[in-house]
Amino acid sequence: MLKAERLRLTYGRTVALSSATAAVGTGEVVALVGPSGSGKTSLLYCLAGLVQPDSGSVTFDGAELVGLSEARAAAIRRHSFGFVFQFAELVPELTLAENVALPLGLIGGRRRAADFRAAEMLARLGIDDVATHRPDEVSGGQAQRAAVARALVHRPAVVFADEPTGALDTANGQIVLAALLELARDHGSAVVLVSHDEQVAAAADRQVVLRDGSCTDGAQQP
Amino acid sequence: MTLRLIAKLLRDSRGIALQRITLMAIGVAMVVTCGLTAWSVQHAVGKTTERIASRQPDVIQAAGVTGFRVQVVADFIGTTPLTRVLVALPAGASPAQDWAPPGCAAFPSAGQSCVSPALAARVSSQPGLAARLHPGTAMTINAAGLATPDELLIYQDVPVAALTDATTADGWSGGGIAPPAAVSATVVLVELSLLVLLPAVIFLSVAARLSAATRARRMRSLRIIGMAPRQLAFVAAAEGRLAGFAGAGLGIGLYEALRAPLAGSGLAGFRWFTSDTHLGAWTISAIVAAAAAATGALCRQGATKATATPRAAARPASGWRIVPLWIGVLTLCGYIALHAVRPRLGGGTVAVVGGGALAALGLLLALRPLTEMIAGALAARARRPAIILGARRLRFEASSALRVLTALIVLMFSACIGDGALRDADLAAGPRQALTTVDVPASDVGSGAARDEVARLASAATAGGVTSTPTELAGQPLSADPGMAAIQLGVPIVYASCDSITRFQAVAVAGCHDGRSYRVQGAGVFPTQLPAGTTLTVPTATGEAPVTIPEPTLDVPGLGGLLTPDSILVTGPLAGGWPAEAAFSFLLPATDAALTRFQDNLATISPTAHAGLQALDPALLQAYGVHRQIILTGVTLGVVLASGAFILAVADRARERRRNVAALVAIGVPRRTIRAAQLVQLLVPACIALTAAAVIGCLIAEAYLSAGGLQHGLYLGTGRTAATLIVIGLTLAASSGLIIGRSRLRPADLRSE
Repeated sequence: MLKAERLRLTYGRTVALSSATAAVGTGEVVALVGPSGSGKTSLLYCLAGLVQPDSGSVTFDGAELVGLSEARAAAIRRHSFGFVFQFAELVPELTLAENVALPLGLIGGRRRAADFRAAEMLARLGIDDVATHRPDEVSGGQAQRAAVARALVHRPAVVFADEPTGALDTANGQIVLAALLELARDHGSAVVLVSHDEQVAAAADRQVVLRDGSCTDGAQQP
Repeated sequence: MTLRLIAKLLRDSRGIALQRITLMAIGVAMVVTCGLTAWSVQHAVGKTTERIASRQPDVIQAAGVTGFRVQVVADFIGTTPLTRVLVALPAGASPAQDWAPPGCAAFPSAGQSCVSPALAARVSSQPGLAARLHPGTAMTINAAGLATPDELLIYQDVPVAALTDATTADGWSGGGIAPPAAVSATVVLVELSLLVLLPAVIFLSVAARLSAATRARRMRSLRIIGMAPRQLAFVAAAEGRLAGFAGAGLGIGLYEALRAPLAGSGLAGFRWFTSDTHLGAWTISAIVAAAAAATGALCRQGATKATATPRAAARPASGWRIVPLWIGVLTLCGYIALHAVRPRLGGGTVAVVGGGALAALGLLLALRPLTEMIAGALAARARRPAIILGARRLRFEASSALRVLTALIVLMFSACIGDGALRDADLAAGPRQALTTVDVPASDVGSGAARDEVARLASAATAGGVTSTPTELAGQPLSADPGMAAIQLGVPIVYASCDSITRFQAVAVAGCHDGRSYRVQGAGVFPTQLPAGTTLTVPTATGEAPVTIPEPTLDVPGLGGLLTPDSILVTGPLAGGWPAEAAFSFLLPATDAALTRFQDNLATISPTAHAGLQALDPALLQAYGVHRQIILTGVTLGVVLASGAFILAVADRARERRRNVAALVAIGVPRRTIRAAQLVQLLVPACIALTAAAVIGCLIAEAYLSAGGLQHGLYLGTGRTAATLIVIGLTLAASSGLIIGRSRLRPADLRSE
């Protein structure tokens, strides 16, 4: 469903990716692992169409993502992808419920239906009691659970999670990871996650190991 | 240690600190240049007054001291002031060294004059003016003797007998009483402070608060590792001091480059000498030190404030903040409404100053709750994510959204009040009508024959008449009642044809027939005091003759013009033989050309005659022109500063929010949605704040005009000024929103914390 081949990405003189190849199947949970600076996040951003690589190819459902206009790439992210960042990155001025409803609004959903679906997601994640709070009024774990809800509310094909438990304690980290994987499975969404945490990586169906900007994903091989 | 840390922080901030310092330095440079421009205008006005005061003749009070005779005539060429200083040497006297007028090489000898360069240029281009002034052999007045480079001034030798109201003087050191200045330097200072310095200070404060949140985070980190508060304050102020120092240097350099063009540009309604606005070494040092200290202090305060008030602590503003605004608005509206019904209503100062201050300060207080309320309602009802995002952001960041508009709001108040004050000054200077009345006192015209010649100028005017108030009532004992006696002595006799009277009064005077005399009675005015049959001594062509107060009365609606209640109108052609107390009145087209032609003709009859423009007050007209230019210049500079402050603050807020925007872009929010949200966030408060400020500004201006008593009915000019500023503000907000929404996503924005 999502494939990256021989990706090369540089930031000035720094080579982030030298030759990265990876693939993600439908509903599959893939962990990108490797030491700091190995290019995990860069590969995630390339797969998600957030960054254009210098060379190589990224295809989603057979369509090439490299070279797409910013507007087109944004449309694919809006409809088919979901994101969970290390620090929730919720819109600070919106309530948790409004944050979760935002992706549905962006793809043209009716406000009332979006609000209902957001409330449902928050209840499922056990944070419906703080639905009307703003992100700076709740704990880091609650905010991150809301971020998970926002990433999955529109039933995306792929959820990208960049260190989703990196800013949380172990207990909260486990809650967030469990919620993410459970909801993704329920929705049939694939998950691409970046983590240093071995326990988090172990929860994935498969691991892609990066070293010095390079990796070869076994799933790619014929 | 602290200095090393500061250097490291500046060096290692990936160019952000340098960018911030550059922006702050540009801000300080703009403030310094605009401030110095404002100062130079104010200083030039003061210098002009000083120059006039220091060249007044030293009138001799003691007896037995030899001096020259001098008479200063405040004349006009058209409506442009012309100062004619007529000098004469007593018989047998020779001029002393210090009798030479300021700026002139010598005391003008017989038939000689000393002329300002601007007047010399006019004389050479206007033959009528040469005939009027008879400059003879002319010396040129240098800069030391002039108030401004464009001043029209002539020192002219005339025979002693030609001087009708001369004094004796023995020098020009300013010992005499200086004429009142047409433009007050203090008023100019107030105008420029409101229009330029206030926006400049706001601009500086915006520049000093750039990246306040980022710096606050850094301060917190430094505090955590144990840095002393004093060291922290030093670190926070260091960037500001550096920017202040560089910006002040840049601003002074820019001002020095602009000094000569500014002096010659006439941007304040007059040109001034470049040397009058020279900055000394001490002044430059003081400006640089003050700019560095002020920017440093503002930076320190900004960083401290940002640390002390994290966003979580921000609470919705209390509804009570709207109360002072309501009281102020009700006071102003009440005063305007009551004044319309009772024009003699007192308490104008209290209503305008008190109500105006309450309304203006009240608005600044009320804007936050108003904006929060409107933004909250908008977010609750909106369906589009862009509107929800923009309105929600506005709801929680109302104070910072309004802060970027502060300079425009203050400018709106200042411009509206300035416009009202300008309108009042315009009305005080005189009505702008097609015709104006010119008066020539007969006492200014030497001989009887010359007075008759002046009377004949009526044939070239739209209308002419003579007003004479007899000194006695022949055959009628003065009343013991002082009031009655005054009336007896003060009854004016007006000589004019029926046609002229109709033109002067601007209404058809029914029942007037040339060759007859009338008592004048105005509608609603007290009844005629002098009974018919009373005999007055009046001038005639052959001398004086008794005139008996006639029986027929003439009813003139409204009066005004030449006629007053109780005056006697003698109709028919002007007779002649006019006494010294008579005054010749002419109705002329209110154009420079017509007035100049009349003045030229008058001067050929009597060089000492002075034509006063009755309806128009040229001194006030000149002051109005200067204030108009100063307010226009001030508003222009204020708009530049306020716009600069707005753009800088908006750009800074967008940079501080870059991380949030990056997260939105990452989840697929379209650029147009982000731009639209940015527009909502800028346009909604701009609409609320600028419209409210315009309404309050117009109300204050209207109340000010009502208190002045010269404006009848509503004045719409302030509304036009306010509408222009609203358009400028909204255009700025819209264009800033669109430009700022274009920034590209950087992965670093999602990772840095």
